[in-house]
Amino acid sequence: MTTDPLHMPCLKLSGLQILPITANERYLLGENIFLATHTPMQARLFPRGYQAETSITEAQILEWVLNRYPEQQGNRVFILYGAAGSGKSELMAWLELMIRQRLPNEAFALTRISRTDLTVFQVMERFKHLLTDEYFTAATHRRWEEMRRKPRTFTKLLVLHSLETLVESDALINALYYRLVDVVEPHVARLSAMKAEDLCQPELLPYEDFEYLRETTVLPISLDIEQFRHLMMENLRKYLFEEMRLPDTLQQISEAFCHRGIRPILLVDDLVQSINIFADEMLDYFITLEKGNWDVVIGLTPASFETDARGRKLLDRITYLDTIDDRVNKIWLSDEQGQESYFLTEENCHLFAHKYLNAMRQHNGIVCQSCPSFQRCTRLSTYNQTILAPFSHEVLVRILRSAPEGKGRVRYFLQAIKHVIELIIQGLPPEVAISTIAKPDIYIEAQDPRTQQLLSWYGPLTTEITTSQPNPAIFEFFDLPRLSFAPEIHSLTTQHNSQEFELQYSFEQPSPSRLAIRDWLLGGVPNPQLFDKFRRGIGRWLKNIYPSEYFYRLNIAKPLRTLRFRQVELGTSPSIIFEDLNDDKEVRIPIGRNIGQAAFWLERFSLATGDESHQLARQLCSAPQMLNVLWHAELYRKQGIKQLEDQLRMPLEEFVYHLYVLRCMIYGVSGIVPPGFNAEYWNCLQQFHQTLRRHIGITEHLRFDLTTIEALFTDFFEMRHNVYDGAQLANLCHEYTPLDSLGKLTYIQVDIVDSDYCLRGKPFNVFWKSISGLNAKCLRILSMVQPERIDQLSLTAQETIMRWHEAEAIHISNQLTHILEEIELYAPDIYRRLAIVLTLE
Amino acid sequence: MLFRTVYGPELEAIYAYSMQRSETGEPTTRAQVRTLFLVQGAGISSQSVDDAIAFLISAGLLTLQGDYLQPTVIDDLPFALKLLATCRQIELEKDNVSLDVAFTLILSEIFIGRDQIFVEDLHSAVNNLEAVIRKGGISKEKIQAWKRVMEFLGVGHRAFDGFICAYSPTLFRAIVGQWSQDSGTLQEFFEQHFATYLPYLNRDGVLARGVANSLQFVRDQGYISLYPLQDSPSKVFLGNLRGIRRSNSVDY
Repeated sequence: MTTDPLHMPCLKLSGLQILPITANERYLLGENIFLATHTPMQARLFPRGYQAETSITEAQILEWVLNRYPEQQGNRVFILYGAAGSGKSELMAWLELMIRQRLPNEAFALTRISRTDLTVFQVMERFKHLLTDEYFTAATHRRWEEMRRKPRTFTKLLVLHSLETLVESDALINALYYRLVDVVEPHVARLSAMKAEDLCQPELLPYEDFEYLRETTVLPISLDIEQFRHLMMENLRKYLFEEMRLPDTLQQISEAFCHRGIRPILLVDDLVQSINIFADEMLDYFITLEKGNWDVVIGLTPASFETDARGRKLLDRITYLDTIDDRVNKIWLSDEQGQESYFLTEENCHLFAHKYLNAMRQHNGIVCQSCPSFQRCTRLSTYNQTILAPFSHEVLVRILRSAPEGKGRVRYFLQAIKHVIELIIQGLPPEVAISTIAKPDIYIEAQDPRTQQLLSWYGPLTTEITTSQPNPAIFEFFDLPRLSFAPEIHSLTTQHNSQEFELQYSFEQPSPSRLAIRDWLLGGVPNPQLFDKFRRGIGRWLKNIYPSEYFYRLNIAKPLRTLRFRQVELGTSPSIIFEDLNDDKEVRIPIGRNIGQAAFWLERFSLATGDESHQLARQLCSAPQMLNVLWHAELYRKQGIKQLEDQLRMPLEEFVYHLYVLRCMIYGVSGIVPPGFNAEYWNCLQQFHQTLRRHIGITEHLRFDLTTIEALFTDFFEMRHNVYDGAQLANLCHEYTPLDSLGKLTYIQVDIVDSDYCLRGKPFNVFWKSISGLNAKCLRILSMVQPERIDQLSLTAQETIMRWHEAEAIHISNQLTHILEEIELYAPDIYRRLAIVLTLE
Repeated sequence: MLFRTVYGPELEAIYAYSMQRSETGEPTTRAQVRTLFLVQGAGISSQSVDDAIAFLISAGLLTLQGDYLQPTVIDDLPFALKLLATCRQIELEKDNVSLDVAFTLILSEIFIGRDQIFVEDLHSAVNNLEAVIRKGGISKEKIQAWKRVMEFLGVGHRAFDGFICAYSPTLFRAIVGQWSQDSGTLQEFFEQHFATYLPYLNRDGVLARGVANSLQFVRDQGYISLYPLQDSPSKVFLGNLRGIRRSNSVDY
């Protein structure tokens, strides 16, 4: 039991037979139905030289065919190029009907070889019958059937007989025979079982296969492929076609009709599929021999000749040889890939569809004017007096745009319409049914998911970002509440400048990244790799507003951005995680689906320049949903700082301060003296520097690191030019002596600090490796030359150190912890060595 | 005057130092502040520090008693809230005709009142305000300084030559943290507490989008909970919400 969710009585399965897959099937439904659903076709002519291309209607093609006189000598050939499914059979069927109507007395001289109904055997027999009124014998029919059942046996026969004629040595025949049978057999099998979908030109022995055979064997193959192939073809004719030669037969038929004052007409839907193995010799006959009197229209699928060298050669000959141009008229229904149809366009596809929809309604016994759905159908999709419901012109264009590459658009379009109607009849909502065959090219934000889905298909056609109110009839037809505002419509197609656009096809394919964003916004889980531009857009926008990955005192006048938390995620930084797309990083900026249409702005913003960039930046800044991104970036920064502080085991400002003290000890304290350091402290640093300069040389690497420390200090303590946070510096000076600072730095374990932290582009661990060694060295030197530090200790602590120096036992008492803390504070270097000894004891 | 070339961090640092000195009974002087915060050397201007002190005095956070700088309020309110509260007070003073009125009026009129999140040409917008026109206008440099201070306070962000006004969740949380109640109606929270720091209603009397988003973000982060409180006669916010409760497990 099927239910139509749209309550349209005209949608019934029985009516779908009006929408058959091929023109031939429709042709068989009857002349009336065929003509009722036939849309006048148009092809293109591409004249030689610099003349511009011109269009030609089917009526003109008909006149062209009929414009003849019996005395005229030579074949007249019309080649109708078109990709598979581009409408060749439709045009041939229409020509056949029209020619029969116009020349009723010569109907017997008209032969049409359609795309699907005949095998090569039947075609050959048909020509034989046309000439002699006789059919192949029963024995020949049996041989054909045998060949179909046992292609390998037949191949063996064919190859062996041909080799016998050409090769002298038994041994070589034997050796070649086994190699060649394997090569030829698949081609023979295809010859007898060719299907309508087969696009390749059949060939008994392609050049490529023969060459491969020659290269991969040590046998001395002195065969001439053309000679060998010719022999095989002759044997084929002998076994299967009673030695009938197609060119000769055609010539004889032509002469026979000529005696009666009639020019025979031949319509071939598709040369390769109908005549297959004899295609090239038949074509050769029509275009090179001037003896015949045929009027021929031959359908040709260029792609079918592209599979082997012989086919390509023939196709090139037809297409480019000047002498052929003189005697052949070439018309095109589509481009070679079938991407562009020369008669079914976005502008007229609704008229094309309307004929079929109308015929379907009539077949189902529905008269629109008396149907209860008439009003809503009319309002939804009336376009130039045509009712297109359940489609609309926009939906049909989107279906047409979704035709896959390499397939003719006409057949695809019809199949797609049929498919969608079938699914709707089965109970699927139209938006779901359409989504199975078409690609969306816009995104419209709406609160209700169904409205959003429907507008993706029924919404306006645009290649830009616009704001407009969708057709109110859409809401009425689907019984949905109208939108209270004019939504922004985002084109998913890639923008091109107008010059580029003219060189492209008439529409742009949706960009994969925009399609992925749309899928994600609608609840899908696309490949996160496709979010590259989206990520970059977020990164670029944030960089202009908030330093999510740079750590310095916020809001200072001129940050040098020395310390960076560079977490790269799929090539972009800061690290971003999208809702429902998994990630294992702890610290990241989450982006939820509530970002909505701003996702498209960000995607475009990633690469935008000039005015577009300016406009998008303004749009993004005005979007409330971007505030969450901004605030999550603030949290991201805070989390990054907290993580680093945990790893350093001290606040970031304190760490920077200690580093700066170390830097002053090594590099000196000349230049600007930041406020907050008292004179006594500053003198102490000077003294330390005098001592250390004798022991520590300044290499280029070290100079770089010391400059980094200076920049870091500026980032955290200089609030404005020449204005420092002297109060905080004074507190730190008060709290820590210079040697305390060095001691505090010894606690930092380089392996614990995340490698995502960088200082002026240098990973923290690399920076810290050299600085920590230097710090230890300074501490050792300064501890040795600062005995007065020990004097500041209590007597018990001094006694403990003396005992240790003299290698005496140290009393483990309750006071020991307190004493050790005291030693750690005033003599950290001694403490470290002492602690090791105590641990060992 | 509040429209001065200041940045923000130095305001807080100088204010905190003045507070600290005052608490120890040794109030600081302008000269001491200059020595402590300014690089000492010949030819170095003290304008930056002087501007900061003048700003804090104009805001009413410091007073000059003889040579000494005295904080006007001794409490543990975060600096941003103290400054916003005093600026807001100036804005709402009926008889005040100084240009300082415009300092938070820019927020009330241009951003919150018009429900605009982003204004690109803030200089033009500000110079169209009646209070500013009366005083002869404000220069671009001063508007830049205003943006910097507001960014420092957490009111918004400088972006693409304009300003995004969206109260940062940190600021919002700080305001929630200072509320004397743990729960109540959103109407009393906004009218009696929030409004003392910042404007929140647009001209139609609806919660401005930037404020609404911030409220939701703080809720989503678990700092507060919002609930319908159906039988309350108070005003509804965000569709059907009337009540607000502070989370007990979070430090503000």
